[in-house]
Amino acid sequence: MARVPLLCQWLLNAASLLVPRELRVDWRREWYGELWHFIGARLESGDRQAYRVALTHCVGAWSDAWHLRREDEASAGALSRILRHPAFCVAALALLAAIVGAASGGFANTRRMIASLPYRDPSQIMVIRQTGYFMGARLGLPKGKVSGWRKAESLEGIAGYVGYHALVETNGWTEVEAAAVDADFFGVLGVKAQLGSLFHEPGARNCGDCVVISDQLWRSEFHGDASIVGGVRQIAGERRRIVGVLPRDFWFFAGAPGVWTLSDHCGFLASDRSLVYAIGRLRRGYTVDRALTELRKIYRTQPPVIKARQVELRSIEELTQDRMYRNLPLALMGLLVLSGGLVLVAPARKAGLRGAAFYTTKLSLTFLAAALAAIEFAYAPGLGMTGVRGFAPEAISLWVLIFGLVTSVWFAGYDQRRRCRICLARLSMPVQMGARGHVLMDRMSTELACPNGHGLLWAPEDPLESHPKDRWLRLDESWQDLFELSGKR
Amino acid sequence: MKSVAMLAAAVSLCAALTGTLGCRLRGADSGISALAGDWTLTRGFGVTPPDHFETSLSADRNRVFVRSRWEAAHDGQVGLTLVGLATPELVLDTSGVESAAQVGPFVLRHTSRLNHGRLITDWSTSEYMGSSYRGSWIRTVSRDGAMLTLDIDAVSGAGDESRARLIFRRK
Repeated sequence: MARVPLLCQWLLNAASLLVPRELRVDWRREWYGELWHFIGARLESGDRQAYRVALTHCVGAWSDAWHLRREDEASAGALSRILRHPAFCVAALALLAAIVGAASGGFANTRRMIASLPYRDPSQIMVIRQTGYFMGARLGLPKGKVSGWRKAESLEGIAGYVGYHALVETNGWTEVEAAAVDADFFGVLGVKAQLGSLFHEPGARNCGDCVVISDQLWRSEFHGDASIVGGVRQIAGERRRIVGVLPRDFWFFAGAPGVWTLSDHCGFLASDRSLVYAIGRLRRGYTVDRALTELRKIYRTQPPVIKARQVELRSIEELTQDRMYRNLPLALMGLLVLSGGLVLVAPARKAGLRGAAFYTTKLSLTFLAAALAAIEFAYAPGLGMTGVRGFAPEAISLWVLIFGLVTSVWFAGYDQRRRCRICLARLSMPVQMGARGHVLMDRMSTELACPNGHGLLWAPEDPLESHPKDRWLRLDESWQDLFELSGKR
Repeated sequence: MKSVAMLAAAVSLCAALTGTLGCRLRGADSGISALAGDWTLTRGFGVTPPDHFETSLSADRNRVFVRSRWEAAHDGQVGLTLVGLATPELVLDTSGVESAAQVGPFVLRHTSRLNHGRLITDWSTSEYMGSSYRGSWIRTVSRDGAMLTLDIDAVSGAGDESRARLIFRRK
């Protein structure tokens, strides 16, 4: 006795959900009957492939079901109503912003840029570098000079650092970003360990083989195991003891290096002339200019004798949280909430106000998505450990912003023109009128109607000064019946 | 009769395969074994090598252990052309599999192969202070086995090229 295979039944039942409700029972009966006879006849003729062929045949049920759904006028009408609703436009733009969010780990960089830096009193922390002669290059400073600045009265503390790459023994070998820092580095920043201790704390200060790891490395490679503190691993070419894990929210410039080692015990930083960058904590009461004058004076007098270039002192807040990029998403979100709220609460009779608010909502949402993409994928990740953003990330983020602004204005205007002035639904039923060759009369234009019967739009294809631009003809309530009928159909 | 012929054919095929493989392995072994030994730097062209630079090569299956020692300069620094060479120990895998090693502030990634008795290594480094490097080393032993020539070809991320040759004498 032939029977329809279980997999075929599942396929048919799933496909039947696509079929319009009133046709569904008949459609399913027809497909089941056809399969039953097909399999029976094939099995009787000794075909062992009957079930496989039946399964292949069932795949065709999906295209059949889809065709029926597409032909169904009620479904097409319902879909059209959804697509033309103003909320759909806003939802599509919100989805675009959500995609940016999903790809960027929940706007991690933007959140970092907006939130306060994870250091004690971050406004007092300065980055000290040497300015180059070309394209705003920022160079490191001789390590010996940084040590000499420890006696500067204008600084509460100073520490050198330099980024590099390290191989870490995990389950295999992982290459991570690393930093070699002075023992006071975390003390200058004012950071405390999440687990264990940091270099400025007793026990780890002069520990040459000690290493501090980031929260991200601890979770991803060591599975958040607290017993890793005190453990010894091969890190950056040596057996090193993990003494601490940095806090979860800690970051330094573009991100947090996975591994932090002491610079005094790094072979490649053995010389006083090795270049390092430095951070310093400005003492209260001292200005940046005063501190800079003192640092330059010490630089000239302190060995080793190295020709001085221009020393630069910049606030870490200024370098990592650029005012424009920090405030732009906030301003756009504020505008979005304001205009979106206005669309929802504005009374129906204030059609102009609702239209303007809807226009602003689209504009701010589109530009917000572009601004977030610029920050997440170009601007924030482009900041190196040197505190310098490369030319490419800087230029790309700026161009994304410019392109995003132009696109937002164009899209918001283009979409707004094709919407009902009353209910903001997208206009439908376009009718071409006139011809492009008719210069004086019967010029080429399109007439569109509001799907809810609020009015008609006459839109010339190429408006001139002598001809009116878009003309909106409001329909009175006597037309409502006609549009309700077309909607039902 | 037919089965005997098939057996003979199978045996011949196995013998041919074994012979070919054996030759290849012997070739590989002879390449590595020729390189093995202790070497002292005698001359350097295109680079200033550290004083008393010595290197020792030993082989274990597909791996070549390169152990080096030298007299450190007073500032402890060595030219970037010698990145990966002026390092106490480096293990090269001649099977073509990529390996990684910590060399100062760099992670050095390298693949090696034996080609007509020459040990060829292609390498690249991670970035440090905005610069990265890539290049190749070719180690060749003279016919009499007394001299080892190491040709260095290095290119920085900015496109600056550096070519050097180190000549070692067997100790």
